[in-house]
Amino acid sequence: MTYQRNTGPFIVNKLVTSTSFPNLNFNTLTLTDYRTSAGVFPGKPALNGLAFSAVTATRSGSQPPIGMHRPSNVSGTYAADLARYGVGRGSCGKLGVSIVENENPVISYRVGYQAGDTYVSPTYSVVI
Amino acid sequence: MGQIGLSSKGFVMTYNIREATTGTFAVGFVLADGTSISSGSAVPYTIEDGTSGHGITVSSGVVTLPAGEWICLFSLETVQNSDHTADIYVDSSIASNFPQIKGFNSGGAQSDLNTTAIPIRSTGSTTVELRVNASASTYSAASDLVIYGVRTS
Repeated sequence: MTYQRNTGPFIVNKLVTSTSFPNLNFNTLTLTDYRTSAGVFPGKPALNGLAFSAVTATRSGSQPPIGMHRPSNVSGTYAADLARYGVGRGSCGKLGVSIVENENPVISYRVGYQAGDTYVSPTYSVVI
Repeated sequence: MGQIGLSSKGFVMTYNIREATTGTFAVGFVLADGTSISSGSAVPYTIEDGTSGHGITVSSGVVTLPAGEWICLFSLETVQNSDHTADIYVDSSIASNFPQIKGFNSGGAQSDLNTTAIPIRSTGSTTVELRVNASASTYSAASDLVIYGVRTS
C-alpha cells in the first residue's frame, strides 16, 4: 500500500439506437449511454482500461446472426461469436475483449453470414 | 483499473477514484447445474473462489458488498429450450438502466448464454442480485457471476 495507482470507476455503456448495416463489411456500433456507479456520465468520455462487450441482434433472413466483435475501434482483435439458431433474435456475441486507450469505446463487428441483421439493446460494453 | 481520460487531464479526474483503498479483489461465483429458480427469485450463486479479505457475502443469491467501488458481471443460461429474462436489483430495486439478461431458445437443449453488468458504489451494506422473470425455469452451471473492485474501508 505504499503505492496506489489511480483507480477509475467502472463504466457500462449501451447501444441505445438499434442499428443495421446492409453489408458484410466491418461495421461500428456507436454506444451512447455511459453509466458509472454515480449515474450517467455527461457526454462521451475518453476511457482507459480493459473492455468487454456483448451484442444482441435480430436476424434479417434465414441465417442466424453471428457477430464477431470487439469493444474498440482502434485496438484489440475480434473476439468470440455465438450462433443463435432458430427464430428471429438472439444474443449473437458472448464477450469481445480489448484494451481501450484514451478513446470512446465502440463495438466494431463483422457479420458472419448475412447482411442486414439489426443490433439491438442490450448490446453493451464494460470498461474496467 | 479503468480510468476516465488521461491522468494529466485534471478536469475529468473528479470521476476517478482518488480515495484510499484497502485492496483490489476479484471474486467468482458459480451456480449448481440444474438449479430450478422460481419467477421473481434471485439466482442462488455461491462463492467459488476469491481472495481472502474481500468481505463479500452472499445469502440465497443476494450479495452484500463491502464499502467500495465494484463491477458485477453476470451470466445466465438455462438447461431448457426456452426464452428467459432476468434483471439486476440493487437494494431490492430494479436497476432498469442496465442491460437485461435476455436468453433465447437456442433450438437445442438449452438457451444461449447471456450476460449483463453493473457498476456499484457500495456504502458497506449495498446488496445486488439477479432476479429471474421466467416461471420455474432450470439453469445451467455455465451461469456465473464475477465481482471485481476495490474496498475503501
